[in-house]
Amino acid sequence: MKLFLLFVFLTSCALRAEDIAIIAHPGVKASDISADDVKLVFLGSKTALSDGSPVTPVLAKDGSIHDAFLKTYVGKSDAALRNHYKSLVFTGKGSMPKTLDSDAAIAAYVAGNKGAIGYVAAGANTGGAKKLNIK
Amino acid sequence: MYKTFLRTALAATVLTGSVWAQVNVLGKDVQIHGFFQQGFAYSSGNNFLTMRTRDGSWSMTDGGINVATRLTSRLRVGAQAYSRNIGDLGNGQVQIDWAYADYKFSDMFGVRAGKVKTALGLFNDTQDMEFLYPFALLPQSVYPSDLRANTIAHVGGDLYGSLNLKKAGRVSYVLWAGRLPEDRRGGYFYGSRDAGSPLSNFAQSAKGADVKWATPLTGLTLGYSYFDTLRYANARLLTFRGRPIPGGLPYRADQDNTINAFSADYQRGGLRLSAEFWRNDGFGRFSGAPIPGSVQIPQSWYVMGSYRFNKRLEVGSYYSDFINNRTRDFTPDVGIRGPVVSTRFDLTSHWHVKLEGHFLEGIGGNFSFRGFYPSTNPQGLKPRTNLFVMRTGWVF
Repeated sequence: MKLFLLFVFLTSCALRAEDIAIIAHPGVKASDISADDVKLVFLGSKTALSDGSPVTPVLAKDGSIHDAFLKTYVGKSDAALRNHYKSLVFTGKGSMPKTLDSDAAIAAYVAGNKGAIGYVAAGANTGGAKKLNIK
Repeated sequence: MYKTFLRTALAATVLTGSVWAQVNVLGKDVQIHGFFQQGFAYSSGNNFLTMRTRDGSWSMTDGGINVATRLTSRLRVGAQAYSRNIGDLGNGQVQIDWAYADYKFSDMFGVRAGKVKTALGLFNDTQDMEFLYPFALLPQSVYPSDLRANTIAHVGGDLYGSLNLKKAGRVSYVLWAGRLPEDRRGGYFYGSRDAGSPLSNFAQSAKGADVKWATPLTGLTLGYSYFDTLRYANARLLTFRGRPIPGGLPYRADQDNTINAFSADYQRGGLRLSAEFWRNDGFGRFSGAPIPGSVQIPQSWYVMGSYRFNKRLEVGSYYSDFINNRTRDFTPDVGIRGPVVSTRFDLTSHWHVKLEGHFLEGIGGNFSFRGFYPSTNPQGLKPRTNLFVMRTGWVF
């Protein structure tokens, strides 16, 4: 019984895709994004959405939403993602993305910077940033 | 100049501590990043990589600093300075590691021009950046530190892009061509001098391609690289069949050299498994000296695994194998092989320390210029070398 309760507790704690909102600057024309494009944008491989809107990713510093986002969309651990960006930076093939401390900071940054794209908890206040639907 | 550069790089890495620098210049965000790495090596058997490792050597220092910015949504420019002092290699000369403009028309097609890091295998373009790996030294069979300049970058251009194969995954490609800068402080010049045939120049033009397939299996990437060089060298033969030649005999050597490199890389969570197989074919012609043409057919491979337990601790191991002539069975005089174990401690997100053991058999063979040189081993080269490496790095 204890094991069963522990299992229920752990599974209820696990964050899923629907717990994460992908947000973008309101100037981004697209309202949808595919999960594959989310991955490529946050790996720095894709710099424009399918409608041609240029985008620049912003990352969370840490936290459960950050971990869930990496697991759900990017498929890399935090250390592997940071190494990936370092390899781009030190070969000249990319920039280090901005990293912010909280959902509020990410939402404010995304709302105020043209082309910015980030992720926050689904229930977080996104300020002026627009939520993108996952196709 | 070298000390000033390294002091600047070290001061920048330590003082900036936890953040990289970003400044605004004429309305553009300009990022500044750097790294500094210091090692200590101690060995039994032979001195390694021109360091006096049998006595313990701290002569293992390198660092770099770069500046880059995005001028438009499609155009990036940047440059990196790099310097190293590994035993008698590098000598602290500051060099432009890369400097180029990158225009990306779309995800499928972009162009880079300038001095560009060469896409070859899994780690060629990042082989100096040990802070990316759990290892203090990458497998020397495939990424020999003494010969880095032969593959690390080209002055020319890249065409690159990636193609979405939908359910079949994604393919990225690089097609490149250019001139490979000469490194007078690298292994070829050092080794040729050591072998009694010093080079006066060593020019290479090259072209190649790199294809990586991110397969539908999450985390698995397969790759193939082709690397084709035409080498021209002028040298002076100081001895022939053991007899000194007064004043030396000048000669010219040309070589067609190709590498076919196959790679596999799998990452999931803290686990990373990688393997590479490189097959090298070199056909040389000599003129002006009584040396017949030569055929060099080395082969290199490694298998590697690592696991990150948490943000502070990562362990890894690899087995590396190089043979200077793949038609022969391994003997210590034609190859180098052996296992390596390593532990990495991340003291902060920008500072780490690694402890690593190499258990090597062999010395590489004639004109392989890989780690073991007669002049730094006057005691005579021995068939086995155990090597301990401690390396620390700061990066911002």
